[in-house]
Amino acid sequence: MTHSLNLASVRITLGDVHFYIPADQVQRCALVDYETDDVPRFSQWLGLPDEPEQGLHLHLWVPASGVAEGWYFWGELENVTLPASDIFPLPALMQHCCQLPALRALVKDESFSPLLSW
Amino acid sequence: MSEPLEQILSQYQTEKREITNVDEPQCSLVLFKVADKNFAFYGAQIKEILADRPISWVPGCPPSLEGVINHRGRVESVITLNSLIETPAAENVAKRTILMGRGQKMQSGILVDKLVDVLDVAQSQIHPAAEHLSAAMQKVVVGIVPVGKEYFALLDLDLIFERYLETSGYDALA
Repeated sequence: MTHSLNLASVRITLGDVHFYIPADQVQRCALVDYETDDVPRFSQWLGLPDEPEQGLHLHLWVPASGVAEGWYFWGELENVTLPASDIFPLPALMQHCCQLPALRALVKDESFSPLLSW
Repeated sequence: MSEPLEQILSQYQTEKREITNVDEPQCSLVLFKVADKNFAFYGAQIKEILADRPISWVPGCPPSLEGVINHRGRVESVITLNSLIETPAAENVAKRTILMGRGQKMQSGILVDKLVDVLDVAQSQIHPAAEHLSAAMQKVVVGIVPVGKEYFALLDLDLIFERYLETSGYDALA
């Protein structure tokens, strides 16, 4: 593995949990002016409890996910560059058992956070 | 030269002495406790024994998957056995131990309450698993080992992983 490789990503913070998505898969992110019913909440799409309503209320579009209408979430979104040495393949048991959709790898940050990719 | 003596000694020269191997086949076992119950793994299936350390929780995983650790440059999962061995989690365990288990198809850390011992036992000391075990236990227990005054249920790591995937993976939800 070449450790000089980097992955441009966006880091989404929901409450205390981070998620990463490769930046080239993210189309757009915008502040939510008003909510519509046809846009799912990111946490619900992930199968997780709702995040606390703190930080920014954002609308994220990731066309590669197949969710055309995007997701709403409360929290933060940042552009980050992940060195290859901070990205780890999933342990075999986790590949079978973790129910997060599109989970592809784990990112070493304050702990280990999911990297979603399609 | 005494003819009788030579005859007696010659018997020893022609005798084919068979050497009997009195050493029984041995195997190494890792003995441990989960919620005060005694269990064992084959030592050959345990790569390393690690002291308690922070385990990073990962969202979306079943409760029996405690999380992951960084071990020797790899991220390894850490599971608990409680649901598989039908034993509720012990409370107030100060320092637990992580057994790094390697099966034929996968590997993972296994969180146990207490490491008891690592020792070699004669294979003849491993008795068949008792029939009165619960159905769930019969799927993972391959023998019973007496050590001192106590008995340890011998678990097969590959059966543990297999059963874990059946009960915790997507297959279990199908």
